[in-house]
Amino acid sequence: MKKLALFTAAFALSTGCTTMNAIMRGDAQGAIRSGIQAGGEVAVSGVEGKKESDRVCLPMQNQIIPLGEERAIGGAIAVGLTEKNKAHFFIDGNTEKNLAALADAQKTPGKVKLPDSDRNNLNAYLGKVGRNLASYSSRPEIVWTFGVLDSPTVNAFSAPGGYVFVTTGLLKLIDNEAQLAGVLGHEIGHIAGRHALKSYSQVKYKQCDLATVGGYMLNKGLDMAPEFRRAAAYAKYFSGGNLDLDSNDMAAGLIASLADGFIDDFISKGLSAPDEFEADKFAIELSTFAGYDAGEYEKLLSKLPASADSHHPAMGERSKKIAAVRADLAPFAGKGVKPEAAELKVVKK
Amino acid sequence: MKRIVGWATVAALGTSGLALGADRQLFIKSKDTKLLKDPNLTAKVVTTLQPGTEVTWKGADAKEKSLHKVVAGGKEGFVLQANLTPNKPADEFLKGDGKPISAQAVASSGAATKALTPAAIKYADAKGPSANEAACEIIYLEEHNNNAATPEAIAAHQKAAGLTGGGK
Repeated sequence: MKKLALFTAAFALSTGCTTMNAIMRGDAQGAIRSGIQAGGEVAVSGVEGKKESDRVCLPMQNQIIPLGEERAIGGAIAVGLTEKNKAHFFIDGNTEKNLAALADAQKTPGKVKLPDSDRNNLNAYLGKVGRNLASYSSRPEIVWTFGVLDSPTVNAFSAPGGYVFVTTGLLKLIDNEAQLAGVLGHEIGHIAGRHALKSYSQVKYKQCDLATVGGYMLNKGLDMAPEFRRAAAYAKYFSGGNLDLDSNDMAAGLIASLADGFIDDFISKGLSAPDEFEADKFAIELSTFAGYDAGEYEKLLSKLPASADSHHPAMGERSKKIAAVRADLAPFAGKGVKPEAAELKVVKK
Repeated sequence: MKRIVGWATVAALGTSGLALGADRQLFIKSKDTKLLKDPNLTAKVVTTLQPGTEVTWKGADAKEKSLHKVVAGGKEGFVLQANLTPNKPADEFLKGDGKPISAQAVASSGAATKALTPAAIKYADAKGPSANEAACEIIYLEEHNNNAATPEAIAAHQKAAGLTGGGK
């Protein structure tokens, strides 16, 4: 398996786009077929380059992602996922459209402000409910941001580092705050469990591999397709073992490759079933300890359309596991409230 | 990751006046949590406990259900459920070297930045106008969360909604 990948990289570098595309699709056989014409010198350099990649990149697969890097890629993913949804946030009064000016203004406390309105109050409400729940999680100290996305699609998603977004389509189906707490608790669970970072580590490894092998061969003076020359230019960022995405000289292209690579994976595959079950467990735990009726979460799940659940395990299996967690937490269930969520009226008009 | 000892505990009322269950490890979530000698909010304070302190849970008081008997550092007493969590605060990491810093040290480290980082802004700029607009909206949301979902506002919300943290 390792040997196959090694030759794949060697051949790919010499044959350009077709081969690279085959590799990006994970089509090793296709890559070898299209790279069969490669000369001996290229193949040997590829082998050496792959050794260098193994030394630099393999440890990254199991490396802990530091908080700074998580926030950096999480912010990019939050932007990318929002753009992919072709939606705007459900807010009023966001008048500044110049990103550089706004980011600069954010350095002065209180300068970036939204006015009082029903929409903005709804986002504030999500912030209060969400941050309260997050204080019961294993990551109470990170900065959590909650928001409403104006989209009819029934969905909620999170990005590493503390970003949790819920669509107006999903909020329309929510009857009370206990149900909202379940949704937010589930997404908080994905972030607290660092679930998405597993996929990110794999995307990062692939980028590092391409860049390091490409960089090695470029140093040998071998000609390569433009795509590989571009990947090779990123080799320097990986060489130290840590990836500082926020450094001044960081290439926007590498950030985009990492964020978009993650988003494509996430949209096509979602998260693993064990991660979804663990997020459900978080939803019940956080709701229960915060004082909500955790049974409301399951009530909401049972009425979600199938299209909202395409990447989640079957409802029957989820229900069984949720019931077991609730039984275990029975001594903490207390009176379990389900407060009215008056702030949601603005999406139900 | 094993946060809860004992699966499907059946609660029952024992002779001690506590809802019984297998001992399990819980964690203090709030600053200066009072460990009370008896199960009433005006009881003598045995000691104060800090976030992340591990306690052994012995059960909820039968009468005052919001108070739970725990043992912390060999001292026994009662704490409000609102100050307990089943989740151990996770270590955070500033570098990929595997050396953790405590959750409490995160806030003062500057690593938990309150804004979209330069990487996200660079990404949005490179992607074009719609990504730029999305990034602007997220910045507004971040600030709105920081302005509106303060600890004081959350406490007021807990109280208004009748949640466990609202009765302190």
